[in-house]
Amino acid sequence: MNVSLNWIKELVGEHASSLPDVDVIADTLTRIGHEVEEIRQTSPLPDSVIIGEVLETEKHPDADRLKVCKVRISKDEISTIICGAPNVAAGQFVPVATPGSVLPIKDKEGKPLSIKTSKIRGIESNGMICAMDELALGEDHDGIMVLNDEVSSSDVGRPFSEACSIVADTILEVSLTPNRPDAASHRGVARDLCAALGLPTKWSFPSANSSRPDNLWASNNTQSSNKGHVKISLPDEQCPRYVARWVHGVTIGPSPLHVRQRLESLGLRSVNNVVDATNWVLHEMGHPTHAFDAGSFSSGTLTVQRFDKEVDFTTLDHIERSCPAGTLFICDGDKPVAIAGVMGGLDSEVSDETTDILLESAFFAPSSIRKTSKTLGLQTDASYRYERGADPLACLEAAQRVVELIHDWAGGEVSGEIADVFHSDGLEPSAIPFDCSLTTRILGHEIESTAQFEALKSLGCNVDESTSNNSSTIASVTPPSFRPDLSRPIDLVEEVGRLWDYNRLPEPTVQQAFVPQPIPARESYLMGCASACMRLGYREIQSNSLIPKDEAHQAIEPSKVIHTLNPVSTEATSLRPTLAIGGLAVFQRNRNRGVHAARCFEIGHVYRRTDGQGTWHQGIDERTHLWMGVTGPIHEGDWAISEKSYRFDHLKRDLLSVLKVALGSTVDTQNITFVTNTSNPLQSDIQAHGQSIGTFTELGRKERKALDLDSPTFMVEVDLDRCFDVWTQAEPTRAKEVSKYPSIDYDFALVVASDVAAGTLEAIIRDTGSERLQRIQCFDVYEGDQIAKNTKSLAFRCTFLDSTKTLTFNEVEDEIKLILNSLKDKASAELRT
Amino acid sequence: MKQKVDDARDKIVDAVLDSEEALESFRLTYLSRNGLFSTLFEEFKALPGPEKKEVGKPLNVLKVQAEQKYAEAKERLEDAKEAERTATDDITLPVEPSLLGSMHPLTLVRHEMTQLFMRMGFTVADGPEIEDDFHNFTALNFPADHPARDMQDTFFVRKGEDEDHRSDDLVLRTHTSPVQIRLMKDKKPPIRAIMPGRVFRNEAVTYKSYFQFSQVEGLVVDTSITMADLIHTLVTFAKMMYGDHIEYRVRSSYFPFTEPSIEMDVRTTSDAPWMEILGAGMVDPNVLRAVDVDPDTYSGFAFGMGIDRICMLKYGFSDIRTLYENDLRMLSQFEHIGGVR
Repeated sequence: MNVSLNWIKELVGEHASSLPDVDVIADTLTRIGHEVEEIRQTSPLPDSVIIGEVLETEKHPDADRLKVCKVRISKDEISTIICGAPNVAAGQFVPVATPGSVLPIKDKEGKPLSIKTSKIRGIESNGMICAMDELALGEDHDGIMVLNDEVSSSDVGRPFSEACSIVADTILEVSLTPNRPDAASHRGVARDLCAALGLPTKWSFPSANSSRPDNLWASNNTQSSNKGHVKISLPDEQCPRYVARWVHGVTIGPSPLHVRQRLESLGLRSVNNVVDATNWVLHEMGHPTHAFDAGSFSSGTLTVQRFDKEVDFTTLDHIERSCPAGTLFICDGDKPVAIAGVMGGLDSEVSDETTDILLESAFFAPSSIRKTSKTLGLQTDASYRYERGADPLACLEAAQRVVELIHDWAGGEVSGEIADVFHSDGLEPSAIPFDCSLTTRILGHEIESTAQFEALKSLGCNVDESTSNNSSTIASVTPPSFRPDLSRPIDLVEEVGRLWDYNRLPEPTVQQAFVPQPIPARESYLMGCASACMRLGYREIQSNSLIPKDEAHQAIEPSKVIHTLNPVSTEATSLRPTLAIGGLAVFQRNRNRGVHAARCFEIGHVYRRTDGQGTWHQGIDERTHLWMGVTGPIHEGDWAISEKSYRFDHLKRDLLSVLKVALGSTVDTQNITFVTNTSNPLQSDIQAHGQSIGTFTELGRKERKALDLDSPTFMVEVDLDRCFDVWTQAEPTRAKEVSKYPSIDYDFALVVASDVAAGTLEAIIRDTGSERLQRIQCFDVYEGDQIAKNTKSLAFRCTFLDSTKTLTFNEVEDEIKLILNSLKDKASAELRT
Repeated sequence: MKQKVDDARDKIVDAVLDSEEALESFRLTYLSRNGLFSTLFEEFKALPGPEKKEVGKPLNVLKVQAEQKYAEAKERLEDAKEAERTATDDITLPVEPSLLGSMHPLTLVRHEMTQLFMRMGFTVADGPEIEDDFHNFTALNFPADHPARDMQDTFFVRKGEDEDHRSDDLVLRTHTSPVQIRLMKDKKPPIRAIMPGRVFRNEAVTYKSYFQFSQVEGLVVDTSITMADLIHTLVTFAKMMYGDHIEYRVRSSYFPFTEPSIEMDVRTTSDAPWMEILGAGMVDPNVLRAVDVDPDTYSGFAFGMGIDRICMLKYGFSDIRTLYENDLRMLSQFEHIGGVR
């Protein structure tokens, strides 16, 4: 919200001179919860922009659209000025920028526009007659400003800003929190500012004092009103109060210049003198009002009601809206004329022909307005305030203020009749029993009860200390009607605290003793897995949790994919069911930027629908996965490294190392097996002790082509939640004694049929070998002319070790014989000779 | 015999051992099994006593001398050979450094923050990213249909595949506060924990906003926890994170789940602009009640800060999208940062 410092000063009134300078004001507002995000000055106008009187105009001899004007610029000085505006005419009083003036707008080169005497098509022009935008007073550039309503001939030659009360202002851009509808006005900001600075607060408005009745709540419950020849009845509980006022015989036109200037400087659009009056009061005291063209009412009855069916209604922004059943309307009889608390209708809008005004100043139930505003997707200045909670007691005062301004700016006669229908039940703020010691308990510092009570009073609370019997720290506090956010003692603690200033809280003298709690194993476990990847030279990436729908559908069974109901874009519609999609997208993006080599990992959540129990919520599996992927050259153009691109075994090696960390000591590398997917030879299931923990994938030709990846690409995705379950069963690490005796290696080469998997042979060797068999390596693989067709040769090295003695070669040979027999029996493996 | 020894001495002294060949020839001539010394020692054995006495010592001295000459020459030749460098022995040949791996800058910052809070006695808690309304909103004192919900543009997710069951909608958590609720439901006070994690807001992607980001939130609940404790904790953290010299200010704010609520700004010098780094406050009594903690006995504070924002400040990122682009040339700039474990 934009806040005018001039306006604040006017509202603070006689104490305005005690206000500190703007930086301190901004800091104070920020400190008490109204963060000032920007401070800017409106552009001051130089005194060389003066009032001129157009005496005569004639067409420029050499230019159809230009006029040569004789303009009186002082008592006895007449200038010739060329003007292109279509509306310039003799008899007008106009702003004239005399030569030498520097205007607060930019020229074509971006510098402040400087006015010089110059010849325009052969005729000398001594200055410029200004349009509104040229003086930075608005956007209007349709014609020059005509000031006949503002000034008279005695003002000719006076500085324009002085004659028209145009004053430079400072605008504070304030970020409002949603709990403070009362602060969405200059009065609200001024009130909090004065409370924080310890200045007396001025509550009322220059001319509205008299309209503030003494008894604000009780006995005001009325069912209907018959004032102003209109019967107003309120059958609807969502409109507890409806005040109507009338102004007859108004002349619709532009508002006075200083009004337009102030509204413009706050970023508001000036409409006309009546609508501007309602806007003025909205920003002055925060209460929304609405001016109807009273002449458009025909039934003599005004009702506030809801309909059982959808209603098509054209709002004054010329948009026809389908309002769902239950939308609250203001109606002329049964004909809707405004969406209550949101926006008026086009048919009852104040137009240039309007002469009689019906002014509404109402209070609507916040939830009703919020619902309507949300379903219509229409937030207005009025709905913003109503849905957060307006002040039901402000209705009369706001109406009085608006009709006075209408009278001042648009003439007419204010009717003395005031319709006020008010169901005040349940609206009156309840008294809050408040014990000042709560403040001490919450803030950790004792603030004297008198200071606490003073702070609450300065915010408009009624503090009744008589309820306390023997302690002066207990009071009954009734918040003002404009503070719907105050209902509990803790709310009052915040009010005291923010005015007192949290920055003044002393450091705790006694540090709370705490017993550090153990860090959950999972936290260090995940970090350990990430570190393992990093130790192997992998780079961590963080990809999007939300991915395109079609990619998610390609990855898994579409019915398992979870979509957001309100995606931010087509690129981010669905929750990732695997990390692979994001990882491969990173490969592709880097490849397209010329980075071919990639070796990456990611740890993150993946999400799928499940028929089962789900991890956290019924039907939804949310798990933590680890993805590792490699592509491109290993070391591009290196003179010494002969392996130019990745093979599956590079990633398999790295995976086995990472799994040492991820599975802990419970699973030996030898117990991790890879089971090839029968339908897709490029994909294998990774199993630990026979339990599936992930997938190993080589990207096929077509997949790589689609991703622009021209090198072999491999990836694994591991379910870390499953691994963690295994990991937690591990025994604590204990140092095991190592054997003092040497080991013996035994090499042999086998010939087997081509379709026998190496893993099968390895498993046979392991199962047959005794516990002395420490390690099995495959050191050579051969297919070719030197052996029979459809066979292959694998060379194994078995390492034997005994922890109690030095092994003899004979003992090892005995074991090898058993192993070779077993290989022959189970896999028809022959010793290669 | 003596003459033979003298002749041999002259030759041995004069021998030039400047190549592998000369060295081998010397060895064969004098020191090998069939070499001169073998022959001479055979002859020596046959000598009569007095002559033995005369020849023995010089012969032995000469042999040691020859062996020394040979050893020195061999060492010298090997040194010379080692000093000779082939094309692939050239240390100036360019190579790529070994692959070092790296953590994502967001992980680095999250880890740094986690470490700091652990030093202050906080533990770490975890929860799901898909949450229900109760944990993400209701228990956190966001009444249904309340404007405060507008503060956090929310992604909704249907709980079942049944299109008609909208009332069961889930959300992508908009903050990690639901983990606070889970923690307080699981465990009675005292509680002292942080909850780092990914969160989601339905916001257009621009240089300063993204639909996902990471947060670290913290929660302390015990008897007599105060705002003064909260501010002290935050200032201690901020000084460790940003340096001892920083200035800070606390200002009033609003969050549905805390009352009173504050935000904290820091700056490195008194003429620098304030940077907002976190939101915090005393846990609202309604939140404590929602998890069956008695607000008359216990009080607590909570805080939350965005990891992305702190990461951007720390490493000088100007566009949040860069963090999720994963350009390897960008990520490689963080590989020299070690110490994450």
